[in-house]
Amino acid sequence: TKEQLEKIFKSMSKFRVALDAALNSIEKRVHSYDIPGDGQILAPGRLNVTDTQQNEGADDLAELSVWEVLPWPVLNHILSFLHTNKECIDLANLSQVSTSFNRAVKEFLGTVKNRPGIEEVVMDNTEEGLMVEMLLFSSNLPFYNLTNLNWSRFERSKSE
Amino acid sequence: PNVKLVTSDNEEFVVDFRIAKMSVTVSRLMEAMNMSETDDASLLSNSIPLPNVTKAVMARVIEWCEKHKNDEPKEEKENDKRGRTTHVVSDWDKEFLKNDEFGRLCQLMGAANYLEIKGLFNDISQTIANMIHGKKSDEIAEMFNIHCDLTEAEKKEIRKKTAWCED
Repeated sequence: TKEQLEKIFKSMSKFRVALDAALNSIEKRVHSYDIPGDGQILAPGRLNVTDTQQNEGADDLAELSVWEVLPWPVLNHILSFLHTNKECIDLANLSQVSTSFNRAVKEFLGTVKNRPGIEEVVMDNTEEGLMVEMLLFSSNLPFYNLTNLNWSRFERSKSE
Repeated sequence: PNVKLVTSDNEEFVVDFRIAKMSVTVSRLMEAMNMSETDDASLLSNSIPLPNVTKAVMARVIEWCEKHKNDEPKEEKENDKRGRTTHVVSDWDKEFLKNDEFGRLCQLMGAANYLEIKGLFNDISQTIANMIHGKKSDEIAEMFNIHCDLTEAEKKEIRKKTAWCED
């Protein structure tokens, strides 16, 4: 009957939503380990979370891994906010925090390097030298022709 | 019209349709369920399950959305050719996020990521980036409560590579 069909359709809709939600959850979880480069999962750093504002679920938060709460795409997004002319120093500092962060920064720089146009920027060297320097400290990246580096400009930028 | 959202801890939030639509994830789910603004019956008879968001975090997300529901849709700036991202956090948003501990910010950011609320996601990213900005590695480690697992030799090697940015 029409009513039965409607009932079935409604059940199917609910199932579809539940399935979508489950797939979305799985996709996010898988994607959180979808690290560009060699594909290895970052070693977790431990994060103690205390909750003084809202207590619901606080117990579940104790001792979460940084990478569980900040999966790779999210961390990568944060690093992109640090990736400005002067804040590459922040990336250098981050790389010294732990093995995980060292790798995260390197992976991030790897994604930067692979963006279209980035090589031209490095090679033409007409603007800030810091971009080149940022890439320099990540030794696992294949490097470039540095003979024309504008060191005086770099020194000036560094002192600002 | 209102939409019912159900969190992982089975709390039901009834929110304005416009607020629900601020989340790309919720929008997609509503489409999948044939829920539309003009069809009250579809809105009343269905609820959207959000298994990755807890009640406490959802309340914060809704608070942010309430504030921004009338915002003009602004075109996000594309990253420049060096991949640098720029985002200005408004005074209200700074105030909204300033008392959140890092752990709470991470949770909120996880929810913004899952729900695909770009404005909130960018606000928190910028806030965390600001927290990192200007801090030495040991200060960052303390903030994140991370035990440094680098050996002395590894530290030395990294310092050597990053010597250009030392004071």
